[in-house]
Amino acid sequence: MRPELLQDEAVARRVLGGEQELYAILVKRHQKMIYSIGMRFFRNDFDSMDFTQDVFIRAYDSLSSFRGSGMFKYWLAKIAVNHAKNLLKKKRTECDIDSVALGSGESCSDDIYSESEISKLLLAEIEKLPLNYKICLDLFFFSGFSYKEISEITGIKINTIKSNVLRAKNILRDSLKGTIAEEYDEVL
Amino acid sequence: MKCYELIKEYLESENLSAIPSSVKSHMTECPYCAQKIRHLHKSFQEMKLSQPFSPKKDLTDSVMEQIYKRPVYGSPVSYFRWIAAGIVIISSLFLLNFSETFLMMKSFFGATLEVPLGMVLGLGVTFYIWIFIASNLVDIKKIVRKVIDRLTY
Repeated sequence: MRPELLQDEAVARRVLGGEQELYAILVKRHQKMIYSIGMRFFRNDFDSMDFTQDVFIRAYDSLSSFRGSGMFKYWLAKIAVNHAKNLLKKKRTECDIDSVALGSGESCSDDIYSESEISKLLLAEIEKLPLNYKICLDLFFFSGFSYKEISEITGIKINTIKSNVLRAKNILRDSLKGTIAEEYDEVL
Repeated sequence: MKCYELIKEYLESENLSAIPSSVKSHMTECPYCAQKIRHLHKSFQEMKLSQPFSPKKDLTDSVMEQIYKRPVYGSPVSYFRWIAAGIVIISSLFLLNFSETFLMMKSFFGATLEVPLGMVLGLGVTFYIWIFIASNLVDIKKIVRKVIDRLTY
């Protein structure tokens, strides 16, 4: 089987077996997720790019601690969120996690959002939320993690995540009213 | 009321990939809910295939540049060391002939003791090759694959 077709966990095992070059497959697959986490925390492209590279290098260095039975994506996201939190603590910039949480209304000037109309609607709403909730919703809607996994990655209680996800779903449902896509469906 | 409850049930479901069976059966009866849920479901699926942000350029090459500077997992012994060890083992087996090892063994086990050098050499080389293959299985597989590919095309 071609390595590109293998699941993340199998690729990670082969990297551990000595096939270092296969790590590129994991980088290619997950760079957007890590970059998105970076953008949530650092709010600029330059730091997020640096952060993404850093996370992948850290992940490689600690790959031997990855237990093949779990999801690689989950393990990687956990490393990324912890690393981002530590970096913010170290930097002590105005982007400090709590202050961002309070000043939730602002949006990034040079964000490179993904192109889907639906994603944009939800993202606009997510932008209004505090940082911790933004991360939860990104991990749920875009990365497909379960409530339990998100709780373990971020340290936020499952019930809080549930209520925020439901809130976001309701916002999305309301936002979709009258969109081109829905009108198209109605015509059909 | 039923419509409201079923849409709520759909929205409360953790699994974005599946529609609960109760909601599905309601969708067959109610075109309004069917359209709403179908649309929401499609939106959720689209989101799962994307990410909120995308880097301006692919970072794979710059990450791999750093990764290649790091040690490779699974093969802690370099090929240079393997070759050096092999040369030492084989030359020491030949040099055994000129040492007093056999004389010492004869004094210990008796004068009739005969140790065929070929057998000792064979065993030493076999063990060495066996350990080398076991330690470098991944690279050997790659070489074998390349050879097979060249032969088949």
